Amino acid sequence: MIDFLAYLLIVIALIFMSLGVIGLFRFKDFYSRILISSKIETVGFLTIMIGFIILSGLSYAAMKILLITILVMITNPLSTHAIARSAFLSGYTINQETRL
Amino acid sequence: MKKLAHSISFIFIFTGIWLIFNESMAFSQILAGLFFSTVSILFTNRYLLENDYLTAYSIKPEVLFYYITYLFLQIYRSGISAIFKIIKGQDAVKIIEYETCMSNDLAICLLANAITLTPGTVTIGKNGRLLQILAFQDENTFTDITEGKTCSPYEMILRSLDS
Repeated sequence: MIDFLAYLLIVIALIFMSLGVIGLFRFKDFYSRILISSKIETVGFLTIMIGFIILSGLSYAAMKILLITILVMITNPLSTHAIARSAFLSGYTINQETRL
Repeated sequence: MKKLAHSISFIFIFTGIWLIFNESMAFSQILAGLFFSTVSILFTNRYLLENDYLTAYSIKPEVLFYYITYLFLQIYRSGISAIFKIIKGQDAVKIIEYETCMSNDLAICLLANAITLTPGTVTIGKNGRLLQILAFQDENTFTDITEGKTCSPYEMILRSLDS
């Protein structure tokens, strides 16, 4: 039952990630793409890691996965912020690509 | 020595991380963990931070718990709403200038972090209490400063850091 829940979470995470990738191709603007890519990073990553933790049970491996999850959740916004900010400071405007 | 006593909770947390990574609860590992945790905190306090470690990262456990719980729920709520945007192809975005009602720098950084972690919003700038947020067109969690000022739910949780 626990394993089923873990696999279910992993499948849900993969669905989230797949939809995020579809969004990356579907959206034409840089800014909307970065908003969607942050969805893959957070929702997909978080769900798949919870799935792995449940699958590992109470072990050192599960605790390591938990630590990695916390570390990524702290550092992930920094990379997204850095990319979006550099584009904004470079004068990249909203809908710049769709206007071309 | 007094500073070290204040940092005792951080030393235990770091020792816990050391033990997890070494996959051992042996006495020698506990000693090594305590030693390296103490050295890293002393080094950070001495060379990397302007303020004391506890002053810079002072956050109450209950505030952290509420913050993480709300953030977790918000991530999934926004993640699901982003799915509909992908399906419908709604890619219109806007940049909001939002002035936070908090003054503590750590609280503002945690707010900016939460905004970026929530799917559909990314913080692209911080100037004092003013945050520039990139969001989808229909995003209304963070009211534009031109549309009247209210504290967002994140700020209601993090406001206790101001005192």
